[in-house]
Amino acid sequence: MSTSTELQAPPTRKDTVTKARRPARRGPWAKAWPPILVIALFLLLWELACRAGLVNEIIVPPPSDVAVSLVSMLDKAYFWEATWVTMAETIAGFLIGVILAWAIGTALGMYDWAKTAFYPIVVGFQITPRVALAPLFLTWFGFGLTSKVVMAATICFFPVLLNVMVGMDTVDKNARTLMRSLGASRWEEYRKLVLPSSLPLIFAGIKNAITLALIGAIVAEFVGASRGMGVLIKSLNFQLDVAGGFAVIVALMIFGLILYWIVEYIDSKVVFWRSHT
Amino acid sequence: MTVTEQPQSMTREGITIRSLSKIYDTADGGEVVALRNVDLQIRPGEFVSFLGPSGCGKSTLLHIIAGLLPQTTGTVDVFGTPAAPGRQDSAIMLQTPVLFPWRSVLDNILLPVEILGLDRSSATARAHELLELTHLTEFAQKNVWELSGGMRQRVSLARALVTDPALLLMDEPFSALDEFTRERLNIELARLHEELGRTTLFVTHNISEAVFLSDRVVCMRPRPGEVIDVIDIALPRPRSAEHLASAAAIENEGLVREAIAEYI
Ligand SMILES: Nc1ncnc2c1ncn2[C@@H]1O[C@H](COP(=O)(O)OP(=O)(O)OP(=O)(O)O)[C@@H](O)[C@H]1O
Ligand SMILES: [Mg+2]
Repeated sequence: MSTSTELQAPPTRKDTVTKARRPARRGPWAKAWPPILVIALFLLLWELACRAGLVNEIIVPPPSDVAVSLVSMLDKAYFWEATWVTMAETIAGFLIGVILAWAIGTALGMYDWAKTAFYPIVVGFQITPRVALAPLFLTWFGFGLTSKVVMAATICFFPVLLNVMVGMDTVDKNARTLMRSLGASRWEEYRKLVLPSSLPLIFAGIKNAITLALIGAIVAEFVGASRGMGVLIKSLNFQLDVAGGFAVIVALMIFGLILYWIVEYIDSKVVFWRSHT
Repeated sequence: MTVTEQPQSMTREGITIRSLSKIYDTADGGEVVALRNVDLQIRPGEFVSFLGPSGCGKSTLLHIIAGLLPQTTGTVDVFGTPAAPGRQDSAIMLQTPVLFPWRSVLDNILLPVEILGLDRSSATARAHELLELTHLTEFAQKNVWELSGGMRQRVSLARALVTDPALLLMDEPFSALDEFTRERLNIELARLHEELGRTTLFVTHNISEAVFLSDRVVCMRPRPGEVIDVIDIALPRPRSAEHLASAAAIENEGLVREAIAEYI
């Protein structure tokens, strides 16, 4: 009985093979269309809800108004000036936070006593909502860019620091034995073994940091600033130009995504072995 | 035995272990006698296996010879100088291949060359020879995750041999592999040993593996770790697959089994 079923099997199997192959041929589109569809559906429902008067257009403007606002902003100098300010704060804060976290984390991770001594403090700061420091930074560093850069740096410092320290603990014990048997110096062991071993975790922290840096910069602008996208959102809201406010938020999302993609691209090039460990 | 070229240090006195003891301090404040009064003389070019049940101090002994652990008492001389890490004339191979995924196969093999600060271009030529000897020629530029477990241990072997060490230390290098792969690698190791003539100290749990590969088998017992017997293996060289289960091999295995019988 079972033999006769098996004998009939080949045609069915051939069918499945051709079907299974199809999405692979379409390449990236096969993956791209579901989210596009969901987003389009969401925007459509939102638009319809506004048109039908289900929501107040002053409180929640229809996506078409937001799009018009955004497009009209694209040739306004004030929009690009605000973008430039916020991006500069974000990137500067991100770089300062990441580099400091890397250096300090490595130094602490090298010595067991330092790791034990500082670990609770680091975890403590990691848990604290660091945006709460924004008013303090405003009084310390003023209305200018500095307080925003410091906020962005502070907010991305701790997750990276933690991952740098934890990453150094993930080094394979046998690999350390091998390096010692070769008479490697501490520095060689760090450069050729410890650093590359911890890169996957460090970069996970860095990817987290770039999104946090943007949050830090915007929150610091909300607390007190004269320029930047956070300021722009606040002033558009005061003028009851809600569509304009939404447009800036959409722009923030797009710039945030671009920053994230850049970091993710660098990650995939640097930690090319990530999925194979 | 076809010994092609012998490094200078090999003409020296081999490896001399005198009244070696190792006592570990345990976490609870006690002491473990991992090795007690080990005396051994290993001739240059000899293949010696260390055989014994788990915990008899085989790894400890190998790590002391590699200069990775200080002994409690006694001396270990490797080619006339005390055991130390970072020697160009000795290399260790561990139970896991320890390959770095961020390096290609070839660059993994060249790691010791970089750390010992040797000439890279001549070492690269040698690495290619070793890739050929270990049947990995077409894998030089591959990533390590593209290799099977057996291939990874062969890369690890090539890395150990790249500095042309007169002494090769191997701590259960094939024990994590399946039986077929282990057997094939043992045959390759025997061939490599006969071709290169390096002094080799090989730690294993496996009696037939020890007999097939060795000139002598050092039988050890645990608690305290001691050498109970050293068995000369009467098998001709070169050794090949037919020696794996030959009557002579089985006879030698019997001798070894007899020596360690009361400890397993
Ligand atoms: N770092 C250490 N601290 C305390 N005791 C240790 C340490 N390393 C090993 N020992 C003890 O020393 C003894 C010998 O250990 P060793 O690892 O050399 O044995 P082995 O023969 O290699 O065993 P296996 O075949 O399981 O690898 C064991 O009893 C072990 O518990
Ligand atoms: Mg061991």
